[in-house]
Amino acid sequence: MPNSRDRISRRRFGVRAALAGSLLPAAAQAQQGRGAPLDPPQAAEVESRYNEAIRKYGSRLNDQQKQRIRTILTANERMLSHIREFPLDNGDTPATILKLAEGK
Amino acid sequence: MLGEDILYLTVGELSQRLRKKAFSPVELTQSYLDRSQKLGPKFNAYVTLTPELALEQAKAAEKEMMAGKFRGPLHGIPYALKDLVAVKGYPTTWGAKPFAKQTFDYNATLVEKLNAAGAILIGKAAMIELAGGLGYSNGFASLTGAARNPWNTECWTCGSSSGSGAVVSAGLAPWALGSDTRGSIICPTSWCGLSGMRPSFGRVSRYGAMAIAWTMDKLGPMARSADDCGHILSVIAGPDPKDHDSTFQSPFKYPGADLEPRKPLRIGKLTNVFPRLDSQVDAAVNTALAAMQKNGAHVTEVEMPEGPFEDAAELTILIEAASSFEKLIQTGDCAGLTDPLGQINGYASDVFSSSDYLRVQRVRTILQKRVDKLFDNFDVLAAAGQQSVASRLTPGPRPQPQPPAGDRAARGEGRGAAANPQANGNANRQPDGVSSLCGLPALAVPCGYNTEGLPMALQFMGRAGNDHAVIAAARTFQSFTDWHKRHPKIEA
Repeated sequence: MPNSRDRISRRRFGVRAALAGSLLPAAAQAQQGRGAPLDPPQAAEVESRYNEAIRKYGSRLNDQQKQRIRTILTANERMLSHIREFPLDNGDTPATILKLAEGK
Repeated sequence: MLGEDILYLTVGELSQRLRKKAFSPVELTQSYLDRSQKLGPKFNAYVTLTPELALEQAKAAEKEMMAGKFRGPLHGIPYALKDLVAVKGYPTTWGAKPFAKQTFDYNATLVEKLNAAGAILIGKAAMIELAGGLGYSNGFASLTGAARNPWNTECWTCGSSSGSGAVVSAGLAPWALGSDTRGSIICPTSWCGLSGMRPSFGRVSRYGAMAIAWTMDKLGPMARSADDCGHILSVIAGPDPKDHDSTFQSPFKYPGADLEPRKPLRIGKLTNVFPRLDSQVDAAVNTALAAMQKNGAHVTEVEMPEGPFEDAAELTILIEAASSFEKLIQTGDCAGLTDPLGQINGYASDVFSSSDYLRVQRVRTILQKRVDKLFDNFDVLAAAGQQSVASRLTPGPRPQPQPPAGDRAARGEGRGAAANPQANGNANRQPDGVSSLCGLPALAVPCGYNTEGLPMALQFMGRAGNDHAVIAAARTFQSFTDWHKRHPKIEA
C-alpha cells in the first residue's frame, strides 16, 4: 500500500480536472486573480468567510477595503488549499508547541 | 570624536581596544551617540535615542574597567535595540502609530542580560510597523518613515528590522538587535552588507518583546562579523522561565576562535530556491561556495524537499498574528496603522477557523522532519541571502518590482499570498519560508557587491539547535574573505 502522502487527494484531482476541462464557473474564474483557480467549494468558502468578516467589521470598511478583503480571503484560500491537499494520517500531531527536531 | 576607522570595527576588535585602554567606554559611546544624532535622521534609523541611559551605563563600565573588571565581550560596547523590545521607562512603539506613546515598567529578559553584561544601549531602532505582523506594502510602513539604505539612500534597507540594518551599516553602532518571524533579520542583513543571525527558535527569550507569531518569532544579532554574532548570542541566549517557548535548557556557549567547523565541512548548495535569482547575486554565491570548497569544504548540490512550506509559514503567521493583535483588530485601532493593507488584513485573518490552524500545524510537524533529514548529510545548507540586491524605495500601495523573498509582505495582498511558490511547484522554494517554519538557525554574510555597489549576501542554514554550525561556516568564509570589512561611504 502506498504511503498516503504520495497519493493525490480528491480535492487536488478535482482541481486538476477542472483546470483541464475549463469547468470553473464564471464567478469562480472572476475571483481567481493570480495563482491557481478556486474550485466551486473553495469559492463558496471564500464567500462565506467574506460575509462573516463583513458581518463583524463591515461598518468600518469602505467599498474599496471590502473588495480588498475579498481578494485577501481568496489568496488565503489558495494557501489553505495547498495545506488541505497534503495528506495526513490520524496520528499526525500538530506542532502547536514547536518541538525542535534533533535528528538521529 | 572617534573616527570611522574605529566606529566600523567589530565588537571583538572594539572589546580588545577597550581592554587595552585605547579609548574609554564613555569616549566610544559619546562618539556613536554624536554620529547617531548627526546621521540617524538621514537614514530614519532610530525611533528614540537614549543618551542619558547610555552615558550612565558607559560611566559605570568605565569605572569597572579602570578597576580591572571586565564582564565579557559586550562590556562597554554600545548597541541599538529594535523598538519592539521593552526597556523600562522608555517608549517602545512597535514602529506603529497606535503604540507611539507606549511604555513598559519592566525590561525584557534580553535587556536584563545585556545590562548584566555591561552593554550600553544608545537607542531604539526604527522598524516596520508591528514588524509587518498585519502585513504591509512597502518600506514606508513605519512610524518613522522608510529606513534608507546607507549604501544608497534611494534604496530600502528591507524589513522589518529596517532601522537595525541602517544603524549598523551607517556605523551608528557596532551591532543592533533584530527580530525575525520570517526573514526580518536575514533580509536587512543581506541588503545592508552586514553579518546577521537568526538563532534557532527558542534560543533567545522573547519575554518583553512584541509578539507576532509565538511559534515563529526569534530575536537575534545584526553585526559586522559571524564571530560577533557568536559573542552576542552567548550573552542574549539562554533558558528563561518567562518565555514559554524558551526551548534550550542550557546557556549557549561560544568558544570564539576555538570554534572549528566539522572537517570537512559538508555544505548543501540549494538548487531549487529563488527562481528569479539576480544573475550577479547568483555568480557571487557560486564564487563564494567555490572558495569554501577550495578551502576544504565539500559542496554538494541539494534540493529543499517538497511540501507546502511557504503556505504553512504564511498561514501560521497570519493566524497567530490575528490572535496576537486581537485587541487592535477588535477595537478597530488597526485603522491607525500607516499601511492600507495593515489597516484591514487582521479582519480577513480573524475569520480563519481553529481547524485551519490545527491542520497547518499538523502538516508543519511532517515538514519539519523532512527538512531535518537533510542535515543527516550536511552540516549547513547554503543559498543566496536574498534573490536580489536592495530595491528602490517606491511609495504607494504597489509592491516593489523585485520584492525580497525574506519580506513576503512586500509582495502584495496578504502576507505573501500574491506570489505563491506552489504555483510553480518545488522549483520555487523560499529559504526563509522553510527555515523559519522549522525553527532553523541562519546566518547571512556579505559575499560581494554588484556593479552599482550594493551588497550581495550568502546565507548558511543549520539543523534546529545547531547554531554553532552556521556560525562556524560563516566564520570560516570570513577568515579568507574581506567583504564584511567594507562599509558605505557616508557623507554628512
